[in-house]
This record gives sequence, C-alpha cells and structure tokens, in this order.
Amino acid sequence: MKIIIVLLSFFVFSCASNQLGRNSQESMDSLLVAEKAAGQRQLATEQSETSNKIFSKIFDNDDYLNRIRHIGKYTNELFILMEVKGHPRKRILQIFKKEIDTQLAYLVSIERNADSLPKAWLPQPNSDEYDSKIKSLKSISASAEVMLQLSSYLSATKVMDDGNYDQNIYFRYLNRALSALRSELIIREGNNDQIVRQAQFSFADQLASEARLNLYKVFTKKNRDAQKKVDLFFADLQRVRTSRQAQALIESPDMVFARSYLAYSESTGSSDIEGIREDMDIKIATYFGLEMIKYLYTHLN
Amino acid sequence: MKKIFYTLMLLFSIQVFAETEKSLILIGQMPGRYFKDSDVHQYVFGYIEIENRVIQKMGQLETTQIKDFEKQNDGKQIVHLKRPQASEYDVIYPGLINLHNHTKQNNLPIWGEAVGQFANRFEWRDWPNYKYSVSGNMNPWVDYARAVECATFRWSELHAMTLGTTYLQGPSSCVDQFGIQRVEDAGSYISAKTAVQAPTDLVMPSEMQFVWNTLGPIIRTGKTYEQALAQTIKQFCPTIAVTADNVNGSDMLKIFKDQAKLVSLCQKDGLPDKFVRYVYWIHPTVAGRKNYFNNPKAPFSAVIAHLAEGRRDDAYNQKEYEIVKMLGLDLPQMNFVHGVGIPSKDYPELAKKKIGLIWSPFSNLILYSQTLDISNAFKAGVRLALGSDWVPTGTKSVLEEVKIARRYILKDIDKEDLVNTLTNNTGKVEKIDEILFKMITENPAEMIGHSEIKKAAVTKTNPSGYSEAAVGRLAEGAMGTVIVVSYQDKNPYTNLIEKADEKDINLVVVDGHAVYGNKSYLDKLGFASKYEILPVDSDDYSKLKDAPIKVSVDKTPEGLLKHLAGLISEYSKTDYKNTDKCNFKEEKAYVFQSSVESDEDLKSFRTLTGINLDRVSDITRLLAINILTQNRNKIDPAEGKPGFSMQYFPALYSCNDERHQKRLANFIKPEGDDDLEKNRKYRKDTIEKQNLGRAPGLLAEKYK
Repeated sequence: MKIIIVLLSFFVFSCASNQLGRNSQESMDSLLVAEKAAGQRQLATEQSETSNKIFSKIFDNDDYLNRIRHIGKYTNELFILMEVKGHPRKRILQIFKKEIDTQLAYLVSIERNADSLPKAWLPQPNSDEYDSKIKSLKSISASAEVMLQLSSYLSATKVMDDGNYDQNIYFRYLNRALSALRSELIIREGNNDQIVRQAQFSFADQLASEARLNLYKVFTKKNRDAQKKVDLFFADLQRVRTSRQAQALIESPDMVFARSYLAYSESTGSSDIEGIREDMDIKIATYFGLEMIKYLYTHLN
Repeated sequence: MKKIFYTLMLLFSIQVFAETEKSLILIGQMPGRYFKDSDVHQYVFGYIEIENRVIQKMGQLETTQIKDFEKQNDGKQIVHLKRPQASEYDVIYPGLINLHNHTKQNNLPIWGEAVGQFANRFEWRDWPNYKYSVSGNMNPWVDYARAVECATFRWSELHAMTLGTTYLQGPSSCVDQFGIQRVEDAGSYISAKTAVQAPTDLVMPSEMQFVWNTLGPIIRTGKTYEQALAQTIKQFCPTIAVTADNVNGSDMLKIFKDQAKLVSLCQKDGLPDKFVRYVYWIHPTVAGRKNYFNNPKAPFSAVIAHLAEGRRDDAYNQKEYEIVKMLGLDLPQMNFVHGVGIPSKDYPELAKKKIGLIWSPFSNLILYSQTLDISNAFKAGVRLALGSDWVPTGTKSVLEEVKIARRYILKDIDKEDLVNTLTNNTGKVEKIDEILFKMITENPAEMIGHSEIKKAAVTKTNPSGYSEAAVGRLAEGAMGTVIVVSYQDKNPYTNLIEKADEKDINLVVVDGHAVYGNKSYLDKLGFASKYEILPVDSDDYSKLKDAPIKVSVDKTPEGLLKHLAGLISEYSKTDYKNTDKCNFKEEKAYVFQSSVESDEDLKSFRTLTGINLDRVSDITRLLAINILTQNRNKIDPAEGKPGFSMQYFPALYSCNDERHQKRLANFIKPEGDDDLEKNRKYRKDTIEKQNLGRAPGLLAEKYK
C-alpha cells in the first residue's frame, strides 16, 4: 500500500511538472501581462518582486532545452518589438538571434528523449553527446556576451533609443536568462576566451558584410573610387583572424580614410517610406558598423 | 588647295547642322487658358514648337493655314496629332506633376488590410502586419545589388510615364536618361535655383521630444529655435563656443557631427533626454533646411516633407505644425504632404506664408477614413497640389488620384459644401475640373518654384534663350515637356480629369524628345522599331510564388549577386505569356533609351545577369523574380510570415491590374454604398479587433 502511495505521489508530481513545462508558455504570457500591469502602476518594488516571481516560475521547473527555447523566444519577441529600421540594438540582436536559432536547432536535432531530460540548467556530464551540447551552449553564451558588449557601446554613444516598456521587459528576461546560463557555464566549465573571441570575429564579419551592402547608398556617383577603397577595407576586416591582423587594420591609414568618409556622410535625405529611420539604419550599418568592429577588435579576448 | 578647303567647309557645315537640335512642332488642340482672349473652357487649335528643351513658339492655326504653315517650317519635324480613325485632333497638355510618391515601394500590391482604421502614420508603421506586408516583402532582395533598387525606381517612373506624369517626386537614383524627370533633380529644369529638397520627415515624434520638452519652454518665451538650442548646448557642453548665430554654421555642425567628440565635450550625467542624439543626428538636418532657405548665393526652389498625416481629430497630428513652427521651418516654399492634422484655423497663415499642401485623398481615406479639409483650405487660399503617394494605399499616378479627388468632392460625404465652395456657388462641375487640373499642373509648378519665365541670352551651355523656363503650363518659354491625350470631351479639363486614362496617353514628350506613346506617332517621329511595344505584363509571373525556397548562404555583395544571377538564369527559362486586357486601339511603345551604357554598375549587371534595365520587359522580370521568390516572408519564416508573402506580381498597367482597378472603382461611388462608407461604418470594430488605438494616445500624451 505504502509503495502504491509513493508511486502515485511521484506520478502526480511528475505530471504537474511536465504540465507546467508544456504550459509554461501560456503561463509566461499571462505572467508577463501581470508584470506589465505592475509596471504600469509604477511601483518599483512591486515590479521587481513580480519579475522575480515570474522568472522563477518559468525557470525553476524547466529542463535545459526549454530554458534555451525561452531565450530564443525572448530574443524573437524583442526582435519583433523593435522598429524595422533605425534601431541600433536590432542590428546586433539579429546576429545573436541567428546564432541562437542555429544552436537551438542543433540541440533539438541531437536530443533523444526530451521527456526524460533532467531538470537542470545544463546537460549532465555523463549524458550522451555532452561535449557537443556544452559547446553549443557556450556558443550561445559567447554570442550573448558580444551582443551585450556592443549594446553597451551603442548606449555609451547616446544615439540609442531607450526602447519601450514591452521591449524592456523582454530585454530584462533575456539578460537574466543569459547571465544564469553564463554563471553555470563558468562554474562548471570555466571561462572560455577562445569561444568568445570566435564570436567577436563572427560579429565583426557580419557587421562588415552589412556595411558593404549599404555603401552604394552612402557614396555618390562622384565618389565611386572612394567607395571601392572603403569596400576593400571592409572586406579586409572580414578576413581578420588574429589580434595582430586586427591591430594592424584598425591602426592603418585605410581605417582613418573609411572613418572620415562614413562619419561625415550626409544624410540621404531619404524620402523612402521610412524616412529618418532609413537614414539612421544606413548610418548604423556603415559608420557605426565600422565603429563597432573597431571596438570589438580593440577589446579582443 | 581650294578643293580641300571647300570640302572641309562642307564637312564642317554638315557637322554643325548635325549637332543643331531639330525643332519639334506638334499640331493639335490645346486648352484655351493658354491663349489670350480665349475661353478657358474651350479648345484652341494650334501648334507648339519645341527647341533646345523649351517651347519657343506657339500659336493658333486655322485648318486652312496648315499647308502654308508647313511650307514656312520646312525642314522642321512636324507632327499632326491626329490618330488614324480619330475624328478630332488630340489635345496637348503640359506634362503632369506629381509632388508625392514613394518610388521604391510601387511594385508592391494593394495593401488590403488598410481599411481606414488608423489615426496617424506612426500607428500603422509600427503595426506588425504592416512590417510583414511591406518590409517583409521588400526585403532582403532590394539590397542584393544597386541595380535591383534601380529597377524599383524605374518601375515607378514607368507608372508615371504611362499615365502622363513627366515630373515625379520621390527618392530615385539611376533614373537619368531613362524617361521622365525627377522633381528633385535640378537638371530637370532650366533654372538658376537650387534643387528641390524632399526628405520624408521633418518631424518624427521619437526625435522631437527634445525640442518639445527641452527647447519648447524656452521658445515659448519668445526665443528662436537657434537661441534656445545654443543656450541649451552651452549649458551642458560649456566648452563648445556655440551661439545662436553659428549653431547652424558649418564649423559648428562639424563638431556636432563628430559624435564621439560631442559626447566627450558634454557633461556625462544629467543631460536632457535624447540630447546627444538630437544634436548629433537631427539638428544638422534642421540646420541644413535653414541653410537651404537662407543661402544668399543660391536662390532656393522648395522643400517637400510629410507633416500631420492622419486624421484631423488625432491629438498628436494636430501638434506637428506647432513643432515645425518651433523649429522655425514655417517658411515660404515649404510644402507639407498630407497636412490633414493641421488645424483649419491655421490655413490663413499657411496661405499668407506661401506654404503649400500636397493632397493625397485616396491614401488618406484608405488609411484613416478622413482627408484634408479642402473646403476651408480652398477658401483660405492655401496652395494645393495632388500627390499619388504609393500603390499599396494610393494610386499609380496623379491622373488616377485626380479622379478620386473629383469623386470625393462631388459626393461630399461629410457635407462640407465642397461643390459650392469650389464652384463659387454655381455648381458647375467644369469649374471643379479646372481647379483639379491646376492641382496637377500650375499649382505644383508654383509650389516647387518653377513657374516663372525669364528670357536670357543664348549661350553654349544654355542655348534655350531662357534662364527660367516654367513647368506645368504651355507658353513660350515654358519647358517643352508635354503630353498628348485623346479628345473625348468638349471641356479640356473634364477631358483630362474625368475621361483620360492610360489608353488615352498617346504621346509623352520630355524636353522636346518623345519617350513614350502610340506607335503611329513614334513612327512619324522617326523612331521606327527603336522602341519596345507595351504592355509586357504577364499573369504568369505570379506562378513564381510557388518556386522552391532558395536562400543565398553567402551574404557578401559578391555572393548575393551570384545568387541573384542564378535565380534570373533559372527563372528566365520560363515563357511568361503576355497578358493584355487593356485592348488599346493602338499599340503603345517605350522608346529605347541608353542609360545603361553610361552607368558602370548597370552595365556590369547586364553582363552578369543579362538584364537590361533600359527594357521594360527586363525590369518586369527582374522585379517579379525577386519579389516573389526572395521576400523575407517566403524565405525566412522565422522573421517574416508566410501568410504575408506576395501572391502575385502587380501589372505595370492598371488595365492589367484587376485588384488595383477594382479598389479604385469601388472606393467612392456616386450613389449607394461604397468601400469608403463601409470602412467608416466598421471602423470602431476594426480598431478593437486589431487592438489598435493605444499608440496614438501615447503619442498625444508625450506632446501635451
């Protein structure tokens, strides 16, 4: 009899946990509404308490794969909330988003039995394919670190928007989820500068690629030679693989040339439907893109 | 020796004659308004002679005088504007002027979700469904190569040209020598004035809070924008030697535009909200506008920018003109697009300050169910011109837009006594047609500063004999840019405004050169086969929506170009059968241009892909392939939404674009229920269902 009661209790507990996991999405949405309501009452303490409750409820009982899915969801929601054009943070969030989509797809593809996942932040050391899972998670963490570095850089320039209330909720959750992941990884695996450095190169490469696509909008017909020169310079930046190469390029006369052109490039006066936002978007892609690359290569891990 | 000398002289003479531009004489009917002592509501039969880009002569003719006239003008190119089987000569009008267009997005289809539910332009621009419908379909392909963006601009030019517009406002690059003229291009005119400026925005709510909250209190004490800004910068960045006199100057702007330097010169904490962003990013453009108007060395023409787009009763919309006044940009030759939210009590001020309004009734009504207070604007004497806006919520040309305007006035759905106001209580519809005619010809000419005629000495660089040649009218000394339209009505305004559509645009002449028109006219002008027969629309392009998803892995410019070339090669193998529901009585044609030859990018694009951007068929194919197979909604469902992916490629000609035609026809009907009434009836329900309304309220709060 006692054994039956124990087994029944275990069964009920396990169902409740799974139910929470499967329904955590709906719970998250309704709890986020609660947070918003608390925020709108503008009681900082109440808001912070609500945040903590929501965050704990979502994560405490969830397995690591679902936690990564939440990160993906926060990122996606944040991305959708941001303006299509002219939002500085959106551009770097996009690069992070690609990384998380890639790693999440990979993790899902190698996961054998999701229902039997242990309720912990990270895969257990003796689980199958442990190493490749950890590598994927480290990649997400490293990419997040670079994204946040660049986000801080853009904040420091004071040309960044503050975002709106909804964006800030998602950014807050994203930050907390990412720092939880990072702390766990550091405790278990230690710092991994190598993987952060790879993420820095990857971001720089993508920023340079975007900038190159926009160059014809920045340079007039009369300045096609200058445009080609700057384009070649961005292409060189994309080929950087060592600190030495990075240093050489950011101290080169070509860097001075590119910066001077892009910093003072005239507003396109765009009458595109997006107007000022289109102008800002082009500026972020090119001038600020170059500044962000410079920042990354100056602060290489 | 003598023989050699005379041979050389003969060769030289031939060369001189070869280089001298041949006069073009068009004989046809013209509105009486262009002839002294003629009834403005009647036609006059006569001629115009265009040489060196300008109408050099024009006059009346009796039919009995034609033979003598031809003898007197032997050697000049004379075209009788009478089509085969037509009983009347066609009518010559000045080329139409469209002062508002978004030239990059006109290859999108109609946006069916706009049903008059929005309060202002910021509401729908931030709506996720809009982002999917527009950005989701216009990207990422439009950034694959400069040539692809070029194709979108050229598409808009083709819309305009086939519907009689010869001066088109809108951002465009690589449209030189393609067909018609750009409003913003100084080279479109014979004039000493600087180019028309046309930024989309003067005022963006997210960028103007600094002005409203920080500078506003200072400005409201009687100080100017410059005084307020200089004072504020000085307060927070004391080492910058800024004054009201130099805050717009180039030296000061250089400091402001160096964003890192600016941040280092200002205090770190306690800065007003968005201070750095405003000084670095926004103020230089405001200063640019001020300097444009105040440049003693270069007379300005005009500025065109959006303002107060949305409903009249939207609280934020009503504030935008106030912000413009704070900036000190309520200046003569400033023209506001839409301006619906400007309170009508300010109309007399607009008229006095010579500030114009550009009216896009179709787009206003489709998006907001309201449009400009035309009655009061007209009474106050505000300058008014029409603009087509863009295809998703507007029309393809002012020739279509003007018909919507006409129906709106005649139906007078809001009982604003429009007919009596515009006809001076006579009720004569031809008077309304005359007013509308002016809105697409003379009024925009005045509003962009190109309505004067001034004679000048003939020079090598300007052999026209004029230093200022007007647009928007037929006169000696006006630009030789005209359209020829079928005769269908005894009133010359009604003939164009009500009766003419794309089947009736029989010739388009730009600066004395034919670019488009009926085959018979082009043959008479000596183009024989040097043109492309139109339309080249095809319903078959829509099958591309089912093409398999193909994404370029290599996102570098080279990689994307290669991917694009591959797509073009693959999808060009299909035979896209011509769709022609237009049933023109006579074939239309577009004269071969050679703009690609003088553009290295377009030339190398042609070599790589086989696409010639001087050919309408190639432009159509390039756009169709891209927009249907490479839109984000289709290829990246994580960021786009498959349900919003484009399902068809809209035809160039409206007569081949059923959905566009249907929307035009059903929107305002003289009698009975129409789409406008239906939209208004269900507006509140739509707002509730779509969860709208919050954003305009928040904006109004920020700008109390």
